[in-house]
Amino acid sequence: MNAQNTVKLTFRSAAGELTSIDAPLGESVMQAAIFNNVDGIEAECGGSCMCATCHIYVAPSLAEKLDPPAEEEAEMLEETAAEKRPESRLSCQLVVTSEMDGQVFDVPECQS
Amino acid sequence: MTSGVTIVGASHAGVQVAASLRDNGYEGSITVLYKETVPPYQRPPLSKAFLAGDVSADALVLRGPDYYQSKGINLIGSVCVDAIDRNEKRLHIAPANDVAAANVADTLEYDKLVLATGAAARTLSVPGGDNENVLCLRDLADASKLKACLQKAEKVVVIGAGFIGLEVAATARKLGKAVTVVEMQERILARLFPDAMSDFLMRRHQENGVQFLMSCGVTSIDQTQDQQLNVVLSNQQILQADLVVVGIGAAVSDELARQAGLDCADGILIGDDGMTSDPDIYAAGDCAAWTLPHMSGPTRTESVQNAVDQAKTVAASLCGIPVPPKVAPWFWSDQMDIKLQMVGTALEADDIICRGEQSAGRFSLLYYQGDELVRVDSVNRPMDHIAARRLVSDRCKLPKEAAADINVKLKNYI
Repeated sequence: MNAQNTVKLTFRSAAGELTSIDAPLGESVMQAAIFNNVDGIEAECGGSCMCATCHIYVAPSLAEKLDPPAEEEAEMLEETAAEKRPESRLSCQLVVTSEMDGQVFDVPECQS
Repeated sequence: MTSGVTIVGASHAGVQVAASLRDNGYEGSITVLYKETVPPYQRPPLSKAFLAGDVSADALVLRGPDYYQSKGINLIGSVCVDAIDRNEKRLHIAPANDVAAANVADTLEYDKLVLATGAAARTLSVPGGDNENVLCLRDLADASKLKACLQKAEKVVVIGAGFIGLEVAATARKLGKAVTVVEMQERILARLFPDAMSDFLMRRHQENGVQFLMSCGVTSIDQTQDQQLNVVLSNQQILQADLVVVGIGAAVSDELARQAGLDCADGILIGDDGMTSDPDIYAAGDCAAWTLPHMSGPTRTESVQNAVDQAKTVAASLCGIPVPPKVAPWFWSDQMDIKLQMVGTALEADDIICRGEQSAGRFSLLYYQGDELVRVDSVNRPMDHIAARRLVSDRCKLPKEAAADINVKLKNYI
């Protein structure tokens, strides 16, 4: 894979364990996480925005730059298993972009 | 050969049993046997995003390519299990296709066995039902073939107005095909939904350009000289098609369990711990039936959520830890711009409350038995659905006035 087509993303588990991956631009963050066996992202519905089990917290500075959640994502986020915060997102709805390079995403303790 | 836990089937349930065993700290050997040649994959997108060409097969994998090896899970594809010898605790296995490795043993011992054999698409048993342009949709091979045929087709006839049939109809319309749906019942999804929901969904599909022929069976499918198909209906009408898709449900794959003498009804019977009538054999997913609230008798559920949850239950039992609480089953279907989400399996209700506007395409139906909320179907109201999962599972009290008032959030009653 061409390095220019991927960015480095790091997932931090609730226990503080870090997993860094090379995520292809244009894929969903969830997809990249599943493909690289990141623990704690269940994505039971496979990315259809149906199950709310791919919940992550993005850094506040990134949250500001991202397009806000669409209505259905916002609604699903209302009732996630772990605490909902302003920087909560469903990773199946986040597309990997170059501005995400080096970002750390926090994975909540539970998804369901 | 090693024993440990052997799992038959590598779809959502089989893979989840293996993954949860490792998550629970199980250190014994884990072997997963399955028929297909490709790595385990997501099934729900097969009738939607994959069929439409929006995602590739590579993007459907359930786990990353090095997952199984890194977790010490021995994943063996291209094999089928022919028989279970319960006395010797041994499986008889055979190659499932030409790709099968030559060195696969023909028997395999197990310490504990998990059956995750799923279900198979029902086929149309009429003359011509086996024509090469009459397809069903269950696995990736089916979906790949259907996708290729769909691209070339102009006139598609879908037999059966269940979820698969309707999802395929919506995808085919998206690709600009002429679509006719033939259904035996008077209305679509009749066994699952009240009139109001069937009518709403049918109207939306009609507005999307789908033709429906209701209360109609298929008598035969005849191939014409120009490679077209004539679908002959029970009312003598003939529909021309170049592709026929059969979506008439699935039949449980429980032959292996039955041959081995395990208790089966519609599905392999399991207890709340996932155990079958043999204490060394468990079952999970579409092939398994267990007791659910609000349902009379053991119930088999075909859904990802059920597969994953039963798998977690089996893995917990095998590790001797408490099983997770049983939740109300939930399902979803994507059709056109409709996001349909359902929680609860109750088929009977004394009262159904509508929340929101059907005409606006954004509403939920809340089903009550007495004053207990037993099921919620949501159309484009994900917030209702997410709250309803907890409300129904935890048997929370939701007053009917609150259920009907969209200004009151359902989550306040959790």
